[in-house]
Amino acid sequence: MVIDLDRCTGCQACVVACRQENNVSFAGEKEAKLGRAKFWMNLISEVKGTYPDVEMRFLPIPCMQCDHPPCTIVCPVAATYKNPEGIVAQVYPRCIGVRMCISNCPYTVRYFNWHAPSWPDDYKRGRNPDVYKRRKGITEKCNFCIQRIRKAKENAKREKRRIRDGEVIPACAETCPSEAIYFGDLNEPKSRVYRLSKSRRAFRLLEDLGTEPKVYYLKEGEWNDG
Amino acid sequence: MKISRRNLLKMIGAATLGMALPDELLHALPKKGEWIPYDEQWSAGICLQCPSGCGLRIRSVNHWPVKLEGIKDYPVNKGRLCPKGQAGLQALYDPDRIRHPLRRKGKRGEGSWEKIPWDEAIPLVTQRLKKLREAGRPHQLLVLGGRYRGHMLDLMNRFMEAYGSPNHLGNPYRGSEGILKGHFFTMGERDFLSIHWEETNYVLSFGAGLLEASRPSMINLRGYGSLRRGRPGIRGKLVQVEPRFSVTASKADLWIPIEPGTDGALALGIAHWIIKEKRYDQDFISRHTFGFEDWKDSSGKSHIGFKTLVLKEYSPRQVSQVTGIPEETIIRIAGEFSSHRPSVAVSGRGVGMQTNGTYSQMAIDSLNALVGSFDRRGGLLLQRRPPFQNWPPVQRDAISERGFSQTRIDGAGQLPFPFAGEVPSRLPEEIGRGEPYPIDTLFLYYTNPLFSIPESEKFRTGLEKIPFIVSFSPFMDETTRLADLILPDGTYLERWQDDHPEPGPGFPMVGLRSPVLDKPLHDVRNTGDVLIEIAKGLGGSVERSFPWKDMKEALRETIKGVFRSKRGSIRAKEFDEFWKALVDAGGWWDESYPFGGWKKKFNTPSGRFEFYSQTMERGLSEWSKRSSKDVDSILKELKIEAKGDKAFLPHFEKPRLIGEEKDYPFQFIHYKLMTTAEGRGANQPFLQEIFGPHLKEKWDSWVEINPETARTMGIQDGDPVWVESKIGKVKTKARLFPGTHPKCIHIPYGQGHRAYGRWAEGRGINPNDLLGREYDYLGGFLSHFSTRVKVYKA
Ligand code: SF4
Ligand code: SF4
Ligand code: SF4
Repeated sequence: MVIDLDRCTGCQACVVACRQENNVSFAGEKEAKLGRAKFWMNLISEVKGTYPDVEMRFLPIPCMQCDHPPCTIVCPVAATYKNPEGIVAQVYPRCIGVRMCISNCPYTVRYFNWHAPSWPDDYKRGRNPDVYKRRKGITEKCNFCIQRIRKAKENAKREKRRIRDGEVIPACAETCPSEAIYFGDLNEPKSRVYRLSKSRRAFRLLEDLGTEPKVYYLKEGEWNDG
Repeated sequence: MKISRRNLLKMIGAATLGMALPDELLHALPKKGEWIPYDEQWSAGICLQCPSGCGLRIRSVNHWPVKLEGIKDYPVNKGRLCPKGQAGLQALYDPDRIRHPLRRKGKRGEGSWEKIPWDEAIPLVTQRLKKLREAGRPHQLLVLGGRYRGHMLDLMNRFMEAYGSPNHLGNPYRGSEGILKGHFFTMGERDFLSIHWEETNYVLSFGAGLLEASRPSMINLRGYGSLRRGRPGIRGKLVQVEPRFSVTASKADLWIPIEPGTDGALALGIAHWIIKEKRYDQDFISRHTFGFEDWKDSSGKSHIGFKTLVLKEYSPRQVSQVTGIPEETIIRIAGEFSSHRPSVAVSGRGVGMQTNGTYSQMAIDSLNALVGSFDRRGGLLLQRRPPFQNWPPVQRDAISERGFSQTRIDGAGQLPFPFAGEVPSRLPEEIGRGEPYPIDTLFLYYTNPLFSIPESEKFRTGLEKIPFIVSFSPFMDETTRLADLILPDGTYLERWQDDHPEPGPGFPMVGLRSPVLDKPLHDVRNTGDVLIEIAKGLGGSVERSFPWKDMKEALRETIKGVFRSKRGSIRAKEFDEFWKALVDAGGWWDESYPFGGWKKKFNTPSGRFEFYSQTMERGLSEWSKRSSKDVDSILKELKIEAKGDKAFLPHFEKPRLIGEEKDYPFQFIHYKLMTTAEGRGANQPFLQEIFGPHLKEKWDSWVEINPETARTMGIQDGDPVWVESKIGKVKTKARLFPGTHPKCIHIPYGQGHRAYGRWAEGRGINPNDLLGREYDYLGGFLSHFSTRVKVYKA
């Protein structure tokens, strides 16, 4: 995944799309203020300076799907692992809720179910049947909309072909109004994400930790760019 | 598996068979064959979480909508949705929706209701309206409408004309009138203009919330992306002029803090430099504008031109003193704006909601004239309507003729509001006085004045004088709570309704909402259908004005014009085939914007862009004749300081404020966030939970104070404080935000509901509780940025 911060407007469409797609319920006022709202895709912000020299930055952060994930190695029951596609997956039935993975994720993108997900009855009809329910006491996180990847793979298999570049789009990338999020196969030199990840503007978060994130960011442009 | 209407239609993408896990297996790893098959359908709709009107692809599973995406080639959103659009299913499934018609049981506003069937509810309205008409008092029906879309506005207008009442306050652009009035005086335009983002090089924004709350929201969000990275090698520039450091300001190349209400002066300072340095588009100015140079009228009288006025009064030095912006900065922007063409100057609420809003907008329009950016690639797009077929003329009888010609209750179109289409904020007093006549019945359609209009307590007192109030709202909002009868509409996913994005991509297009469910989720009805039924019940010429079974049939008739044009994205031999394709596609559009197709004629008396507004001059002269006051004294009545020619040219008028600086040291600048830009998302938890990302605020309100200013007042981040104006006071939490102008405070819109469902009610504060009512009389609208406040620890 590549996120172009020069396009991102901090609108949070990605945040809501992710919740609706993945049946991530809202926390409500009390829990949200305790920091317990789950945002598989989260928008973090930073404001600094003094008037009129002020700076404000927004950063959408999903799970980085680290190639060397520090979160998986600490799980005592192997409930989280890097799958063959490179996605760091969570096996909910296996999770026992010790939350070691949460404290070992340097990007703080793992979320704990302090309560059973609450849905007002009327909302229940609007849930996506393609994603697993999560019970109280387990950890959950962004998985690049794995259900969409699965579906695309099945379709490709049925049609006896490879998945096309741009065929799988996670919910966040699909909706992003300013087209800031790109998704594709980073191992495929012909893909758009591969090309963008080699851009002069590309960087990754906390790169020196050696986690090898698979989410690249493109930094904002300057006055003189183009 | 139930076969729904949806299955029968061929949807965008054929219905596929998906698989879902049975509940009892959800906690186990799936093995092959354990999935439950489900029926998946995709259908089309149009979002209405804001006026942008984005095309929706709705994914339904076993009949129930589960996800909203954008229609890939819909010109407004090209497959994308904003956070409000994404949260839309929480409007549909809101547990606090009104589920069936309700009749008031207890006292007004008490909240005690009885459920009644539709076939009893509608006659309650019809009988009452019938009597009112028979008594020769149809004008005592008042309609307050808000978010009309497509032909719903035409339908209501039609109803009022046939029934016989001039009292329709149905402006869907409330809050942005300043922009429209500016366009009207300079160009005769009644629409907003949109930016041709794909090719513009330089966007000079006077407080437009391009990335938060603007029209058209989605086109601007998408446009921003393409401005920055849409063209290889070209990165377009954005300059944001605004007192508060907004999201748009943070993403701009240059943020220019300005004294509130002085945008017009800045625009004129920029014009000064461009004119002095002869950097303007001489061809456009000489061929397509009026009043640039000094001129003589037909009687031989000389008038000063824009050039003379600007060169004399608005040098960067003079302007710098008014706006607080350094001279060099003004010159820098003037230089860039005129040399980075195609460039555009745009504006937003900050300009349009001031006492001088109309003139400021005229000044900003003038900048666009100077660089000739109208109807050009990379410039501003004029909006064109689809080739609709007109409905047959309205039938009027003697009663409706008489009723319809009564003066309006709100005084719109009369002095001191000669150019106003409506003045809703005057209603409380007018209704209260019962002058010029009392109001008997009120309809509320998609509007909630007790939340959205300042001094809501007065409004409430006014409304309480009306004997019978009918609301069509799907939600129990503040004003609906006062109703005597509720005839609930469904949400935008459940009804037949067309939609013309205004402004949209410029070229003609029309979207179509069709019900996503076989029948609405609850026992609710499309207000369009209900209105037609009421008209039928009234009989006579009113009934004859509505020759359709329902809204869908009325829409089909008007869409026939589009079908017959044989243009655009859908073509068919038969109308039924066209209609079906339209339902499936969610809309019709002409392929692209016809650059150069413009007849180079503006809708003004001169047919040109008028620096000197003859529309205004003629309008006021007319009033002068009618009222036997001279024009200068009318100007005075409109609280305009300028006299003579200057009054008809873009110029700067000092903003008028409510409250003295010594008592109320801060100017109150409220703002809108992307999450609830139109103030209607407060009942959606997904939006509440991401409400104010810049301060990590959720589910709440706050007041932004400049950190240094706060320090001198002993206020710390998070302290409870009172914010007080001459009108009222509210208690909230202080947030120290360095993007706050030291002499201003800011509160976002969206919270502070006293009704509107469990997620919205009793949460945070409503900026309107502080605002007084000041006006731009010339433009005829409420100026929402004119209130001073003080802040102290609670
Ligand atoms: S949807 Fe796109 S623009 Fe909006 S916050 Fe997410 S990445 Fe940024
Ligand atoms: S970002 Fe965190 S949760 Fe995701 S793979 Fe890396 S360490 Fe694990
Ligand atoms: S911009 Fe407006 S119309 Fe478009 S998705 Fe967002 S709320 Fe809906």
